[in-house]
Formats: sequence, C-alpha cells, structure tokens
Amino acid sequence: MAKQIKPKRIFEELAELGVLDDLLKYQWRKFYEQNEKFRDDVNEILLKYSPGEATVLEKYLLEQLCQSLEFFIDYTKVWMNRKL
Amino acid sequence: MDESKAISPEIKGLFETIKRQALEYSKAFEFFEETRQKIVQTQSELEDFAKHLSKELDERYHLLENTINDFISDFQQKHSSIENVFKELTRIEFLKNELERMYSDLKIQMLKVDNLLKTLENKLEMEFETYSKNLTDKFQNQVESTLKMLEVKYALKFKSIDEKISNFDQKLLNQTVSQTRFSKIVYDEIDTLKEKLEQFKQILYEERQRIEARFGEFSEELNKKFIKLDQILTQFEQQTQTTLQSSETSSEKFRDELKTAFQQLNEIRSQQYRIETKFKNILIIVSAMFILVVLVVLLIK
Repeated sequence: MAKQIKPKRIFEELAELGVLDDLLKYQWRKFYEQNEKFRDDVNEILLKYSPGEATVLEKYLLEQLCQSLEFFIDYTKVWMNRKL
Repeated sequence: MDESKAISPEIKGLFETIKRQALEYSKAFEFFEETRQKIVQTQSELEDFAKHLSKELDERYHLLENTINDFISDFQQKHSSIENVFKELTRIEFLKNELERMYSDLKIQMLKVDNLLKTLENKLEMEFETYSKNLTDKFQNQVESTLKMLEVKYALKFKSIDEKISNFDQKLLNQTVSQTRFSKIVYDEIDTLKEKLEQFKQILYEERQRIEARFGEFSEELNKKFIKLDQILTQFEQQTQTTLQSSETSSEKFRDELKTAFQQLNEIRSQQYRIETKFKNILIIVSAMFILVVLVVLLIK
C-alpha cells in the first residue's frame, strides 16, 4: 500500500516537540481519560512521534495490561481453584 | 517500522516477557484445548460406552431379574411343597403319637374287656346251664306229649291205609285175572294169525315157484324161437345171396319175403315185451303184499 502524503497534524508536531505527554498529563487529562477515540488516536501519535519516554502512554499501556491480566486471572481463576 | 521511543525499555522488557508468557500460555491453552477435545471425545466415547454398558446392563439386569424371578417362584413353589411335606410330617408324627396313645388305651381297654368277658362268660355259662336244663326238661315233656299224639294219629292213619291197601290188592287181583284172560285170547289170535301168515307165505312161495317155472319155460320157448329166428335169418341171408347172384327179376319176391320176415320178428318182439311187463307187475305185487304182511305182524306184536 502506497504511503499517502498528507499535512502534519498539530498533535504530531507536539509529540515531536516532546510536549504532548505533559499536555495530556496536565492540560487535557480529563478529555484524554474520558474520550476513548481521542485517547487511541493520541496514543498512536505518541508511539510514533515522541522522542522520549511518554509516561501517559506507558501508564495507559500498563493499565491496559493490568486489565488484561486481571481478566486473565479472573478467567483462569476457576481452573486455579479446581482441586485435582 | 522504527522502534518507538515513547515506551521505556523496562516496560518494553515487561511487555516482551508478557508476550513470551502469553505465547507460552497460548501453547498451553492449545495443548489444553487439544487435551480438552480429546477428553471431550473420550468423554463422548465413555458416555457411548456407558450408554451401551447401561443398555447391556439393563438387558442383563432384566434377564437376570427374570431368571431370579423364575428361580424365586420355583423356589417358593418348592418351599411351599416342602412346607406341605413338613406339615404332613408333623401331622404324621401327631397321628403316630395319637396312634401310640390309642394303642396303649386299647391295651387297657382290651384288658378290661378280657376281664369283663371272663366274668360274662362265667355268668353266661351259668345262665346257659340253667336255661339248657330248663329247656331240655321242657323239650322232653313237649316231645313226649307230641309223640303220644303222633302215635295215636299215625296208628289211625296206618289203619286206614291198611284198609285201602287190602282194597287195592283185591282190585289188582281182579284186574290181573281179567288181564290174563284178555292176553290169552290175544295170544291165541296171534297164533292163528301166525299160522295164516305161514300158510300165506307157503302159498306165496308156491306161486313164486310156479311163476318162475313158467318164466323158465317161457324163456326156454323164447330161446328156441330166437334160435329158429337165427336159422331163418341165416337161411334168408343164404337165399338172398343166391337170389342176388341168380337174377335181379326175383327182387319183388324177395321183398315180399323180407317184409313177412320182418313182420314175424316184430310180433315176436312185442310178445316178449308184454311177457316181461306182466312178469314185472306180478313181482311188484308179490313184494308189496309181503311187506304189508310183515308190517301187520309187527303191529300185532
């Protein structure tokens, strides 16, 4: 699939500047936590364009991991409790 | 794709570890799934086997139940028969005890009866002796009186019978006298009849002798005539031969002679027949008279 040429978005430029993480952490925190679409979009931009570690993204990913593991633990709880 | 700098290496390592563990988990889950599938298959097979087993067990159970029921019914029947046998045995035992008791009772009763019989016998003998004595006395008296009565009665009867016998003797004497007279007359008559019969026999014999003599004479005469006829016939044959040889013209004469000869022969034959019939008739009459006389004599005797 050919790479499409399109104009750079503001969030991408902010991410390249390394300020998007802080903005999401302090400025748009509520919106980031509540709007799922925005969060997914911004997380992808952070993942692509951030020059350093983005704690918001890390925190989000760890939370997702935690949820998945919790789900996994809950899912396999029946088997773990089963006595042989 | 370039490696992202947004995530710290520790977190990346964490994710890598988690990814590796997830892969391991995935493999484990696949293994679990395969095992589960196998278990499910085995379970279904086991269920089928269990169904088959339960069905077979049901059939066997029914079969066994029927067999056991049959056995139980048979056993119950035998048990009831054995119970009956035991009941019969108890009844027999009871009857045996009863019989023994009755036997002992019977012995006692028989002893009693023996004693009673002895006493009764003694009494009976005494009674019989007295009764027989009385009875003989009575019988002797009765017999004596009856004999006296019978003597008188039979003496009278004998007397009347003697009288009747003397009357019958007289009558029999008279009857024999008359019978002898009658028999004498009859014997005299028979003697005269015998004499007459002898005379008749003599006459018959003489008549027979005379007829036989006449018949002899006649047969002699007949023989002579036959001889004469033979001579005539021979003579005639000679004459015919001579005449046949001499001439044919004398045939008419010869025919006349032949005719006369045949006529003579016929007359002789008819005469012979008449004499034979007469002699036969006389013989039949004589034999019939003889038979009649013999019958009369037999009837008189």
